[in-house]
Amino acid sequence: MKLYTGLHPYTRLGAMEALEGAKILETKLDVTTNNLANANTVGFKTIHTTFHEYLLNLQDGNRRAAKGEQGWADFSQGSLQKSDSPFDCAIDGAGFFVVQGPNGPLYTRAGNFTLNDKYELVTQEGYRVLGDGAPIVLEDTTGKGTWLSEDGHFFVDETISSKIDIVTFKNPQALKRLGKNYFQATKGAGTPTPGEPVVKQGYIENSNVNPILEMVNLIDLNRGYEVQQKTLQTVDQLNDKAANNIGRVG
Amino acid sequence: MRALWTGASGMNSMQLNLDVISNNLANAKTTAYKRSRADFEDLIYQTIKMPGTENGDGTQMPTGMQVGLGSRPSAIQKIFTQGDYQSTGNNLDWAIEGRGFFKILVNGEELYTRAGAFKLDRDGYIVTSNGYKLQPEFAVPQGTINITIDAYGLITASDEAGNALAQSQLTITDFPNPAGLISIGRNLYRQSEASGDPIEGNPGTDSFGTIAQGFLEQSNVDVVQEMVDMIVTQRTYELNSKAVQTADDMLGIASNLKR
Repeated sequence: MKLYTGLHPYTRLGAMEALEGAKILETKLDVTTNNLANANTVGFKTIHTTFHEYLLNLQDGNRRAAKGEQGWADFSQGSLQKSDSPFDCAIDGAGFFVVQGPNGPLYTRAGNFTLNDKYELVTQEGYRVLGDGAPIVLEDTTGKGTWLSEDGHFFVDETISSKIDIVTFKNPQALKRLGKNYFQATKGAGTPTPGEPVVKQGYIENSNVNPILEMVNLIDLNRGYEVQQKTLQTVDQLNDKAANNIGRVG
Repeated sequence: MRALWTGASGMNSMQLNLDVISNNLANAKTTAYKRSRADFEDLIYQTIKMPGTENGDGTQMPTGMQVGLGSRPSAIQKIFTQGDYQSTGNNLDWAIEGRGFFKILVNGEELYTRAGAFKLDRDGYIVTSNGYKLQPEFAVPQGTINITIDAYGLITASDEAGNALAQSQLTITDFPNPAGLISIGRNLYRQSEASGDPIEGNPGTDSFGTIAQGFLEQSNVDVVQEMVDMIVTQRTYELNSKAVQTADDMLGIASNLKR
């Protein structure tokens, strides 16, 4: 007869699974809260969490399914809000504005731009927005204003000026988020290719966070977490029985 | 649990948003007030799994796992759109139609305003409601009955018979980026690095606006818009507080594990 020293690995499996489940739920809570915190952030794109299972090898050659989490960015269109500021731009459709970051190009959906002291179109961080690969200069010398056609051409003093750069990615999911509404290209995202979307002047794109969905997520999370706790407690009770009751004579 | 602080950052952002909205509403009737707008951005992300990481079997993960840490205000910017004009019939109420600012001298410093509700002081100088002199300085001579200013900024002081006693050319100032001006209250703005250097010129030339006598520029606050923004702000604040509560509940559950 084979004797186990210590607890059989399977007796701890229930506890491990519950712990894994709880940890995943914590991550999901963090992601959900981040969505809610950015419900009013210009051009913010919701992140959804999905779970997936993968197989882990156990000591005795058996395999068990472990759980992991995965983020999935929702790049659907946010609602466009009228802002009246002539330098606010919003993309209606797929694509990103290209911005000259300190270490190479950055991509953003946040079109709450402004001018700097050299009449260049810049983001709120002061990074230059690119048009035809160069900074966009909007110096209005006649007071006729600056206009942006829907296909992305700027008109200054009633003459056509540069066209605002908008690019799309084969797999935007793989873009890295840098914060401050910026995305960075990665190998997985593919190379940026010029897009032909519709640009609207005097509008900003709201975040596409769906508060109802996020609230349901919160309720779901809370209950799910409770279930994991009950599982852990049950496993603990069973272990307690095994250790203290079984095999006691008399 | 990051969610506690993430939720708090969202609540903080919304608090600031409400402050900005309240200030806009408080200044809905302030002459030439330009409404402000708070813009928000997401905070840094904690990368748990890089997008494009290779799996054990050599395939590439199409997505990664990045957990964001909340939001924060990125800017509060003034929206310099034209306000409506209100007819007052007062000779010394001037509105700028288009771009530009009146230049005012305050304690030796040049400041700028679009509020053109001018008065005369006891020496005949044209001053703002606070008594600061309009630049270039102009004092109307004694015996002046009527003051007129044309669209291009020529100020004429005339007597009872309609004879011109004195004339002066008003210049106004513009900036490459008016949104970069520093608001210092009392309807005044100060130039900054971001606004660029002041450009002076006669009204109606180049990109400068013209002067309308007998009119005041009202604020460009849209009260309905602000009310809707206020509703959205309150609800977002509420939602974020629920997220904080959920995080707290979950922490409570975790701490109940040990009986």
